[in-house]
Amino acid sequence: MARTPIDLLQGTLDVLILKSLSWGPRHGHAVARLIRASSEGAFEVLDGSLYAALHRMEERGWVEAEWGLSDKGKRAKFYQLTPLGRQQLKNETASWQRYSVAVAKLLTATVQP
Amino acid sequence: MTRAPIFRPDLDAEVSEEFRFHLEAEIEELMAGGMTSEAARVEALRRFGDVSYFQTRCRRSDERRSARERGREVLDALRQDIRYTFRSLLRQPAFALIAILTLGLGIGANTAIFSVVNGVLLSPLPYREPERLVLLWESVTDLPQISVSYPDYLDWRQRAKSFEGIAVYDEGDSYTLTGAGDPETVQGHLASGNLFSLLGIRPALGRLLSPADDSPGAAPATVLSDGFWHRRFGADSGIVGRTLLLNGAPYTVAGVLPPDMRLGGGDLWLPVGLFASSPRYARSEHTGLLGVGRLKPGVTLEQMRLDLAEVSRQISTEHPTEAAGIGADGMPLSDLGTRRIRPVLVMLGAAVGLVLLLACANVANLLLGRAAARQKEFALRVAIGAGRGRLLRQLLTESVVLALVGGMLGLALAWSGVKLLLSLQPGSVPRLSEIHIDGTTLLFALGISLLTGLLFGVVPALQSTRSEPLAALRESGRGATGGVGRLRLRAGLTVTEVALALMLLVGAGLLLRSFLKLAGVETGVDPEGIIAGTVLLPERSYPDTAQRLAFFEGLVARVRAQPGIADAAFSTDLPTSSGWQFGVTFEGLPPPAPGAAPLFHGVAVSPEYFATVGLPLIGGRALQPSDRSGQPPVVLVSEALANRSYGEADPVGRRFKLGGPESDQPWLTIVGVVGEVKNDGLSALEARGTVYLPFAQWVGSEAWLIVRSDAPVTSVAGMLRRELAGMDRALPLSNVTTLVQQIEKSVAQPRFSMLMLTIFAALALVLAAVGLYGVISYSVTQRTREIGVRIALGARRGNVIGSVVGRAMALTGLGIVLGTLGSLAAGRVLSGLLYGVTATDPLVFGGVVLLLGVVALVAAGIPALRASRIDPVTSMRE
Repeated sequence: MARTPIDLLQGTLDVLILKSLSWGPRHGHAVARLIRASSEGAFEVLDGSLYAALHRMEERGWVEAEWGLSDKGKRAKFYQLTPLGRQQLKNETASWQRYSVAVAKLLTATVQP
Repeated sequence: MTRAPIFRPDLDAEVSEEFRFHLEAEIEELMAGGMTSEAARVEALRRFGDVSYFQTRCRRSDERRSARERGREVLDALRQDIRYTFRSLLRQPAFALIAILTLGLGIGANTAIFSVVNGVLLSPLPYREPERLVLLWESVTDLPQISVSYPDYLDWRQRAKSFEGIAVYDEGDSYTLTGAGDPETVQGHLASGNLFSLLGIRPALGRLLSPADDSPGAAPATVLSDGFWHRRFGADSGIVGRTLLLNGAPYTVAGVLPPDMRLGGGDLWLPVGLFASSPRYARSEHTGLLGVGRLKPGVTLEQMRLDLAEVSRQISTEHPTEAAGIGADGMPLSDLGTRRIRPVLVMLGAAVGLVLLLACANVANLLLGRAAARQKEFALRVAIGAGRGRLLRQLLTESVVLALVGGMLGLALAWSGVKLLLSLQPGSVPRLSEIHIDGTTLLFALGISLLTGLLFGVVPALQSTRSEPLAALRESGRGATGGVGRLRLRAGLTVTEVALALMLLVGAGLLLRSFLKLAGVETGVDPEGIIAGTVLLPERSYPDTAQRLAFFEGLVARVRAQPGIADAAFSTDLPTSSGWQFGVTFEGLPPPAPGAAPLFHGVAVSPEYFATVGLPLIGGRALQPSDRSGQPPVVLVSEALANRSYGEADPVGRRFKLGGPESDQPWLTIVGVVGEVKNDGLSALEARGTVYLPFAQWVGSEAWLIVRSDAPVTSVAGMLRRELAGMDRALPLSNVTTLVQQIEKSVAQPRFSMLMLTIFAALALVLAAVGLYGVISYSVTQRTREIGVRIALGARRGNVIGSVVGRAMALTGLGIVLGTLGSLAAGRVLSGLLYGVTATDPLVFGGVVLLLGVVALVAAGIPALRASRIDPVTSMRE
């Protein structure tokens, strides 16, 4: 299958979710809020896609979910990284950094190589 | 695909709840930012996207995850069950060992017999569409199976409508191979040129025989068997086109057969057409040819029979003297050789099936005993929340694990058993080379192990999970007698074991008696010390009958002069294996109805024959050296012939001739009567009667040299070879055998069936005795407390023992009745294998009943005695 922008976005979204869960368990709404706040509107993700990604990651065993109570005392589903998810985040971060350094190097080059 | 979510959370509802929480939180947040509730709602939904689309995607993920988890749970539970099983089996190693051993024996016996059945009966013939191939023969009134006359065969090909093609071949004859190293006697088969194309066999080398080889002017060709090609020519591929001398005549090697050619079994094949004009292949001669037909598609055996009957009727009308009363019949070619062994294998299959059932009953009984002891454990597990299903599964896992371990042991036993079986070389079992433990056999062993595990496991499992947990706990694990249901089950097991054991023992007993009778049959001759071999004189070197007679007489004279030789003679056949039968016409007796003429065995012998083989002269005179050509033709007859033909009257001096009333054979005068020899096989009940012709008046080119000696066989055979070479260096001595071996061949199959069934019956007796003892003694032990109470209450010891033993004997009696009924019903399977014993032989039945009765009595008596000796107070406090 050809690599479409959606796929790229999906991969990126996964890293963002893993990152936002790296500080501790939180429910889907909190993850959405965190991503929206940190991206400062640079890109918009549908909340539905976020949940689809969360469930897919649960299926893959990167995160596990548990029902708990929110700050306001309502029943909410909390997600938490599994060791596998933590490893995945590490790999993704490393490759993302290699990628962005390479792109940055090329874009900031002043002499034709 | 989606299953009703009974045992798992409602995934759809969970996703809805999660989304609802998100949207509510979002709306709340937006309203806190100053939006109206309506605007916040719209914005939250916009940010979310298509709710039902994402809901579906989330649910799909969840379903896949939960399916995987469920699979993992089942595996986990199974692993847990199996680990638990091994732990609980290790805790009772004696139980596990006995159960596994019992099952191993049962499964092993079944697997071994299955591998034989699989190899012998089920493997297809290596020919094209073998199911359409039939073996054909002819019949006359007195003989249901005789070989095919060549002209009759040619008529079949013209007239029979059921066949795509018909071929003939013969069972083989000896030929002397010369001109290529040492002279050797080889077995050659004659075949019609179309045989190989009819079977659909391709040559391994060169070409095979074709119809052109049958035509009168064809250059003589021969085809070698794979074995002979390897043995004699070292698989030399340059063999095609070389010339071999057979009985002095040249044949060109046309090709080599593939190794899986099953028909025949000799060294080489020659076209029968080359000999078509010989008197051997006249219409009235049935000299060894068998037909092989390929039925047209869709033609049944029945249609074929009607067709052949019509053609035979035409033949006998057209040739009233040569083909009177001729008929024809056939069977599937795949039955060739397996027809006799089939009932044996069916019987052995039934026997090992019974052994396995017996093993199942034993293990079921062991499980019952174990279940009683584990009552408390089960109750505890139910009390802490294990469902009945879970417990049932645990118990079935236990029995299946037991059965599989037993199956592995069984496979090992079967493997060595089959090796042992093959080393016994039962001469009567065809296709021995096809027998081995292969994938099919492994599957069979696996299947039968699983089945066995369920069979013996399910009833005790149901039984022990049925009880009330509370009651079991309160009883503190020691039921007074173990519950009514379990008692009834044990009674059933006792009856079953007795019945199964009785059937097996009766079968073995009947076969044993048959065998003893068969082994005790008088052959009519004294076979001890008789050694024989054949000598074939090629017509080229010995064209003249006087020359041939002189050679044989000279050879016997030389041999008789050797030290250690008590007697020597020659003849056309060995006693007990006459291969020549003919009808005769008696002078002065009314001719029998056409086609109803009785057939007699015929053998041409030298005068010393009777003394050599120990056949007594009963009346008249013996043959004399002076009875030779030019002298009046004379003959000796056996008692049975004399009685069948002349009744009480003295046959000496009477005359008969070979063939029908019109035959131009000379009249033969009966000069003496000798004893009867079992020429139709040992199990034949009525003797056919034998004609002894003087060899000197009926000189053939091949004869058996027969000597009687106490010296070892090898040294005698060496001496015979030396004497033969001393007369003609180019002649081999073939088919060297002892008469004892010859006779044993006809006992080989009964010996094999009897040996196998005896092994299984011994196995059954051990299993039954152990099982019976286990079942009965256990139920008596269970009643120890009751016995104690009754004795304490003043019951007399003898009465108590009597009632306990009486109950066991009543059950045994019921088992004996049922087993007897079963044996009588199964008698049909056995009756074809019995000799001189009926399937209802009272001696066998009586002996077996007595044996089982004693086992049951001991099994009940010992524990009853022990129970009655225990101090009542102790037994009650226990």
